[in-house]
Amino acid sequence: MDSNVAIPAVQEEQVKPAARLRRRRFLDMSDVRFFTISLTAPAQYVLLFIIMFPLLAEVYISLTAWTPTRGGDWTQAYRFWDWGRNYVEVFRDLAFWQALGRTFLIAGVAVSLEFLLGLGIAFLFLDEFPGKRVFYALMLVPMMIVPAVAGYVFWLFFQSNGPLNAIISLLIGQPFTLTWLANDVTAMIAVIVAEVWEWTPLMFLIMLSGLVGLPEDQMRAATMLGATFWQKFRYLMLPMLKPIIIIALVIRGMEAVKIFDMVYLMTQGGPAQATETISIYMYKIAFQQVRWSYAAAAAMTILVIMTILASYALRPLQAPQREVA
Amino acid sequence: MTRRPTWQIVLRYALVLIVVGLFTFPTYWMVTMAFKPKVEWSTAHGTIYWVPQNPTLENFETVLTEYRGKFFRANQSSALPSIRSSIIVSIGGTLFALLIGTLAAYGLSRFSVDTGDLPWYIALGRLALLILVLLPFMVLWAWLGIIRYWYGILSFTLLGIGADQLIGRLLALYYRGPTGSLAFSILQLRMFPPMAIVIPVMIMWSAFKLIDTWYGLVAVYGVVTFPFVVWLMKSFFDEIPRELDEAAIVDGASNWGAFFKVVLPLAKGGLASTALFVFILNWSDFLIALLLTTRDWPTIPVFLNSLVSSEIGAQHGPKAALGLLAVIPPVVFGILIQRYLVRGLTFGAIKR
Repeated sequence: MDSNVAIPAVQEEQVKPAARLRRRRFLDMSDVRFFTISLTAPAQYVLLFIIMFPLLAEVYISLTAWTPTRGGDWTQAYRFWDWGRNYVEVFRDLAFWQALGRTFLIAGVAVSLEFLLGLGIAFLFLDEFPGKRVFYALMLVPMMIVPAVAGYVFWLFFQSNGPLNAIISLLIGQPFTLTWLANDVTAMIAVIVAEVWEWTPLMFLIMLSGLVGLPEDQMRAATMLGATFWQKFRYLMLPMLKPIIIIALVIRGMEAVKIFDMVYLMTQGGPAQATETISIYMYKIAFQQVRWSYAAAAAMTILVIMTILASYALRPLQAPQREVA
Repeated sequence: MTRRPTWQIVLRYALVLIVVGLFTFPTYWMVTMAFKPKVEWSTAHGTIYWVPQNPTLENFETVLTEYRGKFFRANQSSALPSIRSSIIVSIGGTLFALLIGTLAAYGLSRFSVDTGDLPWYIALGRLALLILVLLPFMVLWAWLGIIRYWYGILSFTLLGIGADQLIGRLLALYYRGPTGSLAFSILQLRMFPPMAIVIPVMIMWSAFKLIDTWYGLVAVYGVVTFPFVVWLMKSFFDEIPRELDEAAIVDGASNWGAFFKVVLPLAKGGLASTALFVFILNWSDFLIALLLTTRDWPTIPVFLNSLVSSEIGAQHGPKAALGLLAVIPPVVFGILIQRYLVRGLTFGAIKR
């Protein structure tokens, strides 16, 4: 990037006398370096200011055995210093690793389903048909619904006397009363269904814009040469859509592992720990069991794991980002 | 299109109807629930009501007025304060994020500023170094007993920022490539669940007496959503030819003048859609508001969650009514900016 030299060069040539006069002044408003710094500094320092203390406080607490219920003020936590026993405990805690695994399971299943559904629905919307705009708008609504509200709606939906069981009863012709959210497997299915419902529209939108942007003449050439739909899909569309597909999967995957609102409102991580994701796990440790130092250690461990994963996950984003644009 | 046989058109139409029907049903259920009188809320009376038989506005009335001995617990108040709080906090957070984010985005777009996209071992190594340096000070500050007060936190934060800058300089001596700064490597932590940082934020906020205030929430929302502003606005600024700023400067405008009078007006549409998008994000938040508000400033999602039923199924109607009210702004704004929605949700990686 040679962008940073372009403007100073122009300035030096055109407004030289004025610039030379101004250079003596403290906090020179016309100086490009000062300008650049004053553009990015507010963001940088506001972020540092808000992140710095919480981060260090978290590390500090995680190295002690302090809890709000025992040992009074958090500043006195050094009295309970225990050289990172919490971290050893996190590594030994089966519930932690299970919650992590469950998070990736939910994210993996949900994102794959979202992708397949989104791609399929995008094909349906590829051509014009009467009423397309209305259906298109309706299709986008779920992703704009506040997740907390969506969680509540799906909680209603999966009640034993809710609409889902009523539909199933109608279909099989006899009363069907499964308490979806009280059973390990069905609660998991319910959470994934809610997640897929909310975010398939995003996948649909991304895939549709990808399909619309495909070069038309190549498609037409393939059709004239007698290619079937499957051949066009496999050898033309899929390779050309690949960068967009990767970006969509990575971004949805990164968001999906943060899942909290839906699960919290639908099952609270239950029954027992059946739908406990990593966010719910930390919430329970910190606010139900009130083990703050342990929660802090778990949070730091998550930070390390997620940083490593994110840097690998983001790698495919960096190269194609410019091409797709 | 004209060559397609009729059965294909019919099949496609049927599929579209089924798919859209499935995806619309939960929303439909909530909307109808909001207008149903109490008898129709559940199947307890033997039948399920697909369409409200006696549509009523009673639920909206219940949720928007004070407790009248009807469905809620005795301490139940109206939802109006939470609606007010949601509006204030979302708008404030959006403005804050726009203010710092737009400037940073222009810097990233026009000047080669370090974006801090560094390999994880550098990011983590830098973090570990910072923690090693600062931890003794943390313990010292705690031992002195000043960390619990605002001046202790302030002085510690300044010390931390200084240490971070120093480590950045040192790293730049030995490592070629972006060394980033803690601030911009935050962008790399997009995957990081907010739950993990919110506990110490609660501690800091209570020291600053920011818990359960609108400005406390505004600050957190601004920081959480500002990366979206940076990446969205950067892609809008990138589309504006650099020659325009240069022309403005040649014509005698200052750097700030070129930005405010030439570039920003051209990016107006992008700025508006970014604002609406960030507003939707703030409006939708549940977790942060759940942990940082208690009595005075709960937002709509938190209030919705606090409507605990004493009798199962007792208040589906009012809850759905409030949910419907909460959903209207994001859906309206979302439809308005649907072209930019993908860009926002993919962090600007897909630009159509």
